[in-house]
Amino acid sequence: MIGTRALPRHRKRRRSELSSVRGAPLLAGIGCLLALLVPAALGIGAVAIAPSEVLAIAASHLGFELNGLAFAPRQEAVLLAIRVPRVLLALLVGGTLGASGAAVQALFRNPLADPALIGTASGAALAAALVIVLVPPPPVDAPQWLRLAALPLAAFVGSSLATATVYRLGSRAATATLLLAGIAVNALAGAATGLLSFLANDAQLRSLVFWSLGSLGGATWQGLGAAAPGLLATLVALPFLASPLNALLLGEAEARHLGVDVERLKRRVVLLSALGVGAAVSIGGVIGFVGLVVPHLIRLAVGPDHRIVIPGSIALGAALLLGADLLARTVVAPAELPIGIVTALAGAPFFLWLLPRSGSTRGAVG
Amino acid sequence: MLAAHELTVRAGQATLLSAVSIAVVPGQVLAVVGPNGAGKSTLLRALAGDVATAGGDVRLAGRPLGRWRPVELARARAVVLQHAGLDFDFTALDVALLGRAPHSGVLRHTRDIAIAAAALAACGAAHLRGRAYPTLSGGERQRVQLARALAQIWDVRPDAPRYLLLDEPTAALDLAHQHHVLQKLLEWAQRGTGVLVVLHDLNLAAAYADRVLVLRAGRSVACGPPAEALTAAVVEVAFDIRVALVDAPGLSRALIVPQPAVRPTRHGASSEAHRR
Repeated sequence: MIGTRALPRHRKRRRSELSSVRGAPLLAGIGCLLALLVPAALGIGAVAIAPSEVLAIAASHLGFELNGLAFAPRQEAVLLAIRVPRVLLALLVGGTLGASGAAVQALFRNPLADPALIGTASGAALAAALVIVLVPPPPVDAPQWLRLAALPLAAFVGSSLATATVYRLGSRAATATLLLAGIAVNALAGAATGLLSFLANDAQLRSLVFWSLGSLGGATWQGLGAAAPGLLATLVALPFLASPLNALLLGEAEARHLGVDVERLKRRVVLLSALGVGAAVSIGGVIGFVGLVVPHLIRLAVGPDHRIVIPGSIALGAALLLGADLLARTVVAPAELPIGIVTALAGAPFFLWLLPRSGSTRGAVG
Repeated sequence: MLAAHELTVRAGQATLLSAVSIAVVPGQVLAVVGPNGAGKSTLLRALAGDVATAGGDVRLAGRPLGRWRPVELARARAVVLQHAGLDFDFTALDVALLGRAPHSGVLRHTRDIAIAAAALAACGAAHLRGRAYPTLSGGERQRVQLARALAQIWDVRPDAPRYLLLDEPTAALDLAHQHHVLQKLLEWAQRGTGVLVVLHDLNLAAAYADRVLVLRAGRSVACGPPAEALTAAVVEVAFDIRVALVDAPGLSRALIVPQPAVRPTRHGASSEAHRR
């Protein structure tokens, strides 16, 4: 057979030649980070809960006693009603934003794309604002699911429309066009949201501000339940698109020649990122830069192979958002900083640092 | 056989190809030449299955392209287009490995890595394998893309179809690598691959192709072995430029040398020249 004659004998090659080989240590490292952050996030706050007490509470709910470990009923209440949903939400939203960012960057074949920059998040926020301000609250006897699902659903529709618009305008063009399209859609959504805030009453206004700055403070089990399907769908489905996304980076025609169904892939990425980001925005407001920063950090460490980048972005996004949320609620305790501010304060300088560097990796001619 | 029959391709009002019939035969190198806008790239893309046809059809092994599943098609034919950029830091080995995508599942096999490495070596790019692709020069990238295509059809069964379609693979290559690449394509053809290569350099086409298709304005002007298809008369009609076929000692075939009407002069005198 033509190939076998020419194959060299397999030998150990330098690890750096295959960019995905460094994936396992990275994921392990992020796992350790999470193992530190989760107990910290569960324990730190107005009511302090030590890790041992967390364990004791968990044990008692699983039905057995741990000797010597006691906890106060107040701690149990706070842990279960406030801390756990909030930590879970931070992990899920962070992971979703990270994965969606990686997928959107592959879709646009541009490492500077980010769900927030391309209008996905502001589209979702606008849709949520429309629901808050213009849509009358459902009657008291309306089914529970309607009240819970209206916002995430609206956010999903808004994020899909915004992403599709930016995509059609910017996918085949240079970075500048893509970002300009995103700027335009962001501006439009922002203006419309501003108009709605002009029309809103005080309570509605407060909710609107919440959307634009982002906060995980309102995390409840019910809210988590409403957003979880969208978040989980994205988290579970995106890693399976890793191989075709690798091929897509070469170009749409090239990916097609490699056997990838490009149209179906593009639809799936748009749908999944809109779904995930829409769900994230519906419960957490606009949280920017996670989708941009996290995939870059992963790529810097292990290269652009999506088979590592997507799971890595999920893990690192979860860890970073959890850390940011911890910071947001401790740094000006007892008040809480909106988490969108924390991620923007950290993310924007990083983005500024990134811009000239990303230009310099383009190859020279000749 | 990968064959186009009475192929017509339109884009809006313009007709890019008009009733062109050509076949890529396993074991042969077919060179497609023609002036800019003649339809060479369109023909290649139509054979690759990228463009909708307004008339005629393209068949691979007797089956219309539309009836092939994309993955099956990807295992039978590899395409190298004139390449757009890649903004992500894949290494050259990673890019070559992408050629194995139609064959591998989610996990990467050791064998795929070995094939990608061998493909890079075959294209004279083995020393580039750890380099980040965006840092490579245009010519180096072309060689890596060729390696990717070779990896894609590396281990096809002897009785299965295998085709390579290349759009100006020598465009950014230096003199030595131009010949190295074409020599490699010739070797692959001799071992059973059907090779179609779009070229600008007529002498390269004459030297390496078994058959040459000359296009002009979407139509076939000549098709056949280089001695028949690349005569001075054909070239003049197709390219709007006079050429002379020049024999030189040590050359196995005549060189096609352009004879432009206006000869450049260094002395700033009137540049009206005589036509020879």
